[in-house]
Amino acid sequence: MNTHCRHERDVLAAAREDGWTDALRDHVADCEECAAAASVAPWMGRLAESDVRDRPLPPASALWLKAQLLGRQAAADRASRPFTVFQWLAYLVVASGWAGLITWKWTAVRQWLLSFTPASMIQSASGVAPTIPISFYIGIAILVSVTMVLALHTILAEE
Amino acid sequence: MMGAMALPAALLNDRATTGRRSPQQPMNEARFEAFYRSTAGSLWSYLFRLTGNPATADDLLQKSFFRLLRANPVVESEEHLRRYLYRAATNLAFDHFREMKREQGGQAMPATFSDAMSRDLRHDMQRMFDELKPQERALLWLAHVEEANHEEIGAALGIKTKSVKVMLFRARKRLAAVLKQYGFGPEVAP
Repeated sequence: MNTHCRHERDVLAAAREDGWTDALRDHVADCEECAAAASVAPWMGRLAESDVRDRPLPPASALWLKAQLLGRQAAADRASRPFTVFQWLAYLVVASGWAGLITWKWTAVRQWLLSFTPASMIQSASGVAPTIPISFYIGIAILVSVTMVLALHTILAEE
Repeated sequence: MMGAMALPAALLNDRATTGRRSPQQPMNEARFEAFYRSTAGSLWSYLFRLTGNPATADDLLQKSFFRLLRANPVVESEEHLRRYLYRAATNLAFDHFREMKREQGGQAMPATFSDAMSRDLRHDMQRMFDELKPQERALLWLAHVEEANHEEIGAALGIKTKSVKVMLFRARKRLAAVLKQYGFGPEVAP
């Protein structure tokens, strides 16, 4: 059952074109495989002839152009992958910087936040408010600069 | 037909000038257009008979050609490209069936043809054809309409050539049974 019957193509052609010979008829009577092929071949032929496409196919040029655009898009995505990875690393570094600064200088942060309350403002005016270390302000300034550069880069890259 | 179709002129240029088998050429627009013209119609019919839905056939046709172009094929021969294209189209169609089955929670797929066709005799033929499994439809279409040999069918469906004969025999028997069920007697040699 694994060998292709050598008469199958002739049987299919005969069934399609109604070109039966006595030899083929005898063969079909003996060959189960060819009998099965012949029994459905005319119907399959009619099915194939009933063309159901009621609209034209898209033009080849449009498909070619779209494929080129998709290809370029894929290439651009591949090329920009290292930059994307670098960008995510930068986000991670900046976020870690902020978290580190807040944890390391928590006392200073707390003092700085409390300095906006009315009581602290009065104390500050009278010169008795605790001083916030200069390293805290330097850290804030560096992180704000880096965050802004990163944000600007993200916005421009998306545009 | 899969193997018997004449090569388009754009694909034959190199062979005609050199008088020997053309070296492997990268695909360009002219070659693609020639190949598309020679294969798109038959591939659409194949996909339509497989899916029963013209819009799905349109969609899968485009995806098949995109997949072919994305693979950046070399034009070794049209036959080579054709095999790749039919393999891609068959895989996409079977993926489509799996997706539909998942969306319907594993229930049997309903007929997908449009209502506009329901008054048509062609619809009845498609309905009978849809009673078969997708793989059986693919086997029968490739064997009877594309006139592909067992090796080509095996390549298109991703099955062993040796298995094609048995599966095709079963598909023919199934179709004969469906036709009988709808009142069509077996059509054998007169």
